[in-house]
Amino acid sequence: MRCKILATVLVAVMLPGSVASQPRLPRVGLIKDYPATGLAVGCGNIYSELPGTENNSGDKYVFLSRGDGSNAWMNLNGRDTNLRLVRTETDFANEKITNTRQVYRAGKTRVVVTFRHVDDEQVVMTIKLLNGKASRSFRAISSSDC
Amino acid sequence: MTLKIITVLMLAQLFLGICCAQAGGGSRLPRVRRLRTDQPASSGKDGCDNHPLTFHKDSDDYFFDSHDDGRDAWMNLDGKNVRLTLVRSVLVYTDEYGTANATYEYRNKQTIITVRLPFYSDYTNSVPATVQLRRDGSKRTYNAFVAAQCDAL
Repeated sequence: MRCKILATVLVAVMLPGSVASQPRLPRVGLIKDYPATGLAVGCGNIYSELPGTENNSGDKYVFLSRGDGSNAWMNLNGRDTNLRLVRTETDFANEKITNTRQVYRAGKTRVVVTFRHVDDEQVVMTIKLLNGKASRSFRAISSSDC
Repeated sequence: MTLKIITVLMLAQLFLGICCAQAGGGSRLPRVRRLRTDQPASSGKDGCDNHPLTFHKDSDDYFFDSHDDGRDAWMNLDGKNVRLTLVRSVLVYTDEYGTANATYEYRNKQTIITVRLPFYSDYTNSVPATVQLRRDGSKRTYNAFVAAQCDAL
């Protein structure tokens, strides 16, 4: 009987806490106001689209930034959000970039963007969202102007 | 019999000692000197967009130079200006203006050279930096200063 009560108390105490502390990841959408990001002008910007949205006439960018990773934007929970650049790691082979990993923050969410340079033409881009133990990643197609 | 065993053990120890000493000698780190002006080096210590390092504050004893992205890096190792191979760069940003703790890792033959530039920004002058050489478990660290990157400073 005592054991039952203890178990009930434990469940009552632990369950709401564990549900409440479950971290949530923001919904990722397409950037709504591309000119407002300031990336409609200038050279060397990175434009990233989701596979299958390349031919969209309206909103199509899932991630935008300067070439060095600064001034990065994503649409999170329906709002165009300027991401804070925290860290950049770049691997080189024969003076050429092979991998780039950029870590951003948007509130409690960490956004990790990786570019794997397969060859001079092909770059595989992955965007990963993390918050506590929750994570979600997806592929994107990136291009650069100029 | 005991004497024989002791003798064999002593000889074995001596042999191992010689072997280890030879391995240690093989991991000699190159000596770092100031960049020679009569040998090829980076695109220049003047102007912007480069990382010249000096041994002393506000001096012109440049011993390392590279572009601001870490590429085209040169050092004088064992009396010769050598171009280093960039392997990895890590920038950890400390503010929204691009100031960062920068780390660049290079290779020259078996030597790994790590250049750390804390408080790296576009306009740094006489900011402390470190250059560490590693090879086969040996390492040596040089304290350095980042010279002015722009003529205007």
